[in-house]
Amino acid sequence: MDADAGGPQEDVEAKFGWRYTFAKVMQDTTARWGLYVITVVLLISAYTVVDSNLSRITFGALSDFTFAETLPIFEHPERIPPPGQGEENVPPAFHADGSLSNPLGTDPSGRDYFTRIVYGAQVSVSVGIASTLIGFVGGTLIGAVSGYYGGRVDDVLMRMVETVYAIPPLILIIVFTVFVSGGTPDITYAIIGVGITFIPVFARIIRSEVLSVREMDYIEAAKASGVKNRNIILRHVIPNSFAPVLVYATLQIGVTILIVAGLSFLGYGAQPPTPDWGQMLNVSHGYMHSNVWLSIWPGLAILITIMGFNLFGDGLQDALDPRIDD
Amino acid sequence: MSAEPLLRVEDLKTQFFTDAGTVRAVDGISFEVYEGEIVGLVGESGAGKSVASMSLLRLIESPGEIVGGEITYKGETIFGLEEGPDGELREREDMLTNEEVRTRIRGNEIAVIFQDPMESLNPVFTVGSQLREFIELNRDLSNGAARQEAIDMLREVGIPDPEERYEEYPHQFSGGMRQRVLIAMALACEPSLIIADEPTTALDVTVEGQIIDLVDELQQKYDTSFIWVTHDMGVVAEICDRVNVMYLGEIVEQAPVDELFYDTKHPYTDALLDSMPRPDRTVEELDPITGVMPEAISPPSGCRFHPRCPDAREACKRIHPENREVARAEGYPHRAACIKHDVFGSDYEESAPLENGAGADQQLPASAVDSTSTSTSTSTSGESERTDGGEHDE
Amino acid sequence: MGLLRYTAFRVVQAIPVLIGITVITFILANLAPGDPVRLMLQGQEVDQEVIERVERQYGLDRPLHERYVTYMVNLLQGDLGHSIHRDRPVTDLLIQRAGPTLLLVISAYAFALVTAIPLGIIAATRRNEPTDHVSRIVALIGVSTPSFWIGIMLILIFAIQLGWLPSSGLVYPWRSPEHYGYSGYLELAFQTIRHLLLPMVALGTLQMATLMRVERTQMIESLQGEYVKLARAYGVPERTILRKHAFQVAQLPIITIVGLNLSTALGGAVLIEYVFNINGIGRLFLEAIQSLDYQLIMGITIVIGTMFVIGVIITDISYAYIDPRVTYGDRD
Repeated sequence: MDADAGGPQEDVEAKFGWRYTFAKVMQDTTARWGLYVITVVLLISAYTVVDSNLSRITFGALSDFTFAETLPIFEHPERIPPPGQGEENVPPAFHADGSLSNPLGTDPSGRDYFTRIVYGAQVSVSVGIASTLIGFVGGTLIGAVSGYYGGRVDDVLMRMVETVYAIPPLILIIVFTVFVSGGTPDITYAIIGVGITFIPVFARIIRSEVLSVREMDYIEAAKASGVKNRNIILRHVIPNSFAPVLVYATLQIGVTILIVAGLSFLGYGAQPPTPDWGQMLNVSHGYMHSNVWLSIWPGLAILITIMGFNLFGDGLQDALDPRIDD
Repeated sequence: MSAEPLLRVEDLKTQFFTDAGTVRAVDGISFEVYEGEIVGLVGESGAGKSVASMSLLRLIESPGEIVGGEITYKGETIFGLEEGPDGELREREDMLTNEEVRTRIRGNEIAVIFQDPMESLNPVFTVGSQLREFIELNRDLSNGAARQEAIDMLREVGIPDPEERYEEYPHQFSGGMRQRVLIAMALACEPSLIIADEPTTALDVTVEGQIIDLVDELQQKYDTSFIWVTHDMGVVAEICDRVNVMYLGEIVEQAPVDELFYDTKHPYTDALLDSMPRPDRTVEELDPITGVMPEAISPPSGCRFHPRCPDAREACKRIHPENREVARAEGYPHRAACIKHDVFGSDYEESAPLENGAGADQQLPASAVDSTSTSTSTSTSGESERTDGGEHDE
Repeated sequence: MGLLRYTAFRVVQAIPVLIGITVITFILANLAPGDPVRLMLQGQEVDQEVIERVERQYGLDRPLHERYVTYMVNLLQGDLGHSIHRDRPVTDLLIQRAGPTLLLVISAYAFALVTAIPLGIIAATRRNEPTDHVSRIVALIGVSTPSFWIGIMLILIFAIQLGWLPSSGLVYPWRSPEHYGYSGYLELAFQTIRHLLLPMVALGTLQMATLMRVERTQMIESLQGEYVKLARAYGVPERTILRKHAFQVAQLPIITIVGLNLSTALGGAVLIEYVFNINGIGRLFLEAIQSLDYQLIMGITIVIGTMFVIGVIITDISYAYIDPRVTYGDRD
């Protein structure tokens, strides 16, 4: 029916732009919760530092470490409690044999599990963001060029994109990581591998956006006034195709973390002693009978983090996609 | 008009309960439809025409609800409330249940033709199977007979090669052809009343003409009554017998079609007619209605049209007129909801005119301009200008 | 264009992608620093002469493009090369391991479809009611949880704690009951299901959650369609509207999603086969990676990529078959 509610007067203000989007997203309960979760995880991963006694966590701002030193966790594996510091396989605090000094128990090497879980956030989030960024930048460039030029360039690029798309990401990344590293996989190779693998996904979205933007009058105007193709793409086409890709990027960070967890679980991502969640699950896989808890916490941490990104991404999608409204 | 009307609607109210507040989409309308006539329901989009017509079939979806009034069809109560012992309004005993409305009214008694023929047909079923499904549901016909009836009906509405087209999918039909299918659908169920909800709006002008001619012809042949919902006065003139003009959920004027055109009693109808392109006038003479229709969620006080009305006076802000009989024509009442008519006995004549949009300058004494504060518009030229913000406040 | 021609058209369209897969795989396999033979030996001291002999034997001393052409010629004859490490044809190894993977992936899909579609419809019809909220939360958790962790949790609960179901391996229904020492086909079937249950749920949960969300959105959209309004106005019972009018339209995107998600499912199979000790292609892949058996790695990658392409073609064709609006490529 001609919903008599939304009259023509309703909000003549522009229904686009960053501020509008942000306001709309914050109205959405799911998106708000997603943002809270992401914020907490980001804060933890950005500011957590384990002190040099290797047993306690402090917030970065309160520690002696500078911010720059604390961020790339995988370069400082020696900060993580080394083996033999404490009792091995202590159960979590709520267990009869547990104690509050190791709230989540300790691992088979006697390291505090809570510390490692919290530290794991840093690895997961930085890996997730870094590789998404690679996919995002690469995909944006390829998609923009492909969509803008069309024709043969488009055909060739899109066939390439489809090809990469056809091989399951996990398999492609493992092959990439193992061969490029010459048999010694490492988290850096994993990040690059994941990033490259997700280029096609972004390229497709950007391309379809560009195809619609390309027909806009201002692009025609820019062309007519002799602006170089490169500048048209960089200054006009890409900025105007951005919003949906951003939504996708948010969702993609979640997917990336999921993939990296799988990689590390199989031993092709972060290497010990880096406390990556997937890698911790790999270790705990051997202790499923003796210490159940070891397998539970890292999985829960992954679940909560990815859920945060998914919630936020869903909310963004609702806010930007007017097709279904409640 | 001695006979009982086919359909009688009295004081119908349909509201939508949204987060932003209650939208009074249909706010107490009354009208009748007699056998064999085409009754127009006219107004701008958002006037509540579609909601009103869907209310007749009790097809209002949440958060909407019919909250008051009475709908009687062939002596049966489609909707009716009464006061219970506790003083609360409750549904009347004799009101049809949802199941009864579905099986006895929808389709076989009252059928509809929707505005958008592109979207109204299900894309994954053949046109024929959809037609047959509705025929089987609403008439006592066997499978084979329903199929034959469907094909006959397709031929009747002017679709060539109906046997072949029966097997085709909606996307293989043009817009005009699909609208013919929808008309066939409505007629094939042999209803006594068809609600046509802007059936030609989505079509080309030439196709629109064909469809209107087709309906006119078939209406005479089958003697089906129509409620024709439209915003187009031109279509009204062509096809309707009697007309109801709606504004913001209310019927502001009701009259036989000739009477409405030649002896217009409500300024809104006047405005609608003036904004309609006519062969006897040039574009320059077109006179669009100033301003936009306020929202039904916060209608203006008094007469709802007063912020846009060229004849508005101070009294119009206070008095909310109901639709009263101001004249009689062809045995039918001519009703209008405007206090400038004597039957309302208001102080319209004495009260000060409001400065409003087009033509206001001619009527306004200079002193009156200062005393009226409702309008922030300074449009005094004859051109259309959007009267903005201020006057639409609660 | 008829359906048959459309099928041919889609197959031809897929050829560049299939060639692309072989190119990518070939390049990746040869990106490795150092020569493959030395890499495979992983630091063991071997005579230079031996290495050169092995290289000659497998044609590794020839330039890259020549080797690619040879590889492709063999590939077209169904020969995916020879696993140096295992000294067996790659094709044989793949055929031997394909059964368990297919069984796992297909049953995971069956599980996902059977659960997701009804749940999605229920959520759509009870929109914003508690049922809807609960199913949305379940779906959200489903898309946010790593499949291998679900597998681990299932093992912990149903195998280790409760002891109801086995935690590793599969029983293959195509083997004879005697092979396993079962009393008959009934027990074989029973054991097949028992073994399959946990890995199937672990692999299928992500698919279920994804499909459920799509189903819900599609049903909501479909139920808002004008054709649903029209059906209501003609007195069609609500149940028929749901099951026929709205449902049919809503299923179309599901088909596409099923095809595209095959990629995630095949990747997930690697993890699930690892967790549950299933001897499928996924495990074979991990073993091949471990030993840097690059002929085998290439073979597996190509086969899995091809499986995905075939899956997408099949879904595209069934889409075209179901949706009358698809014009089989020639747009009007």
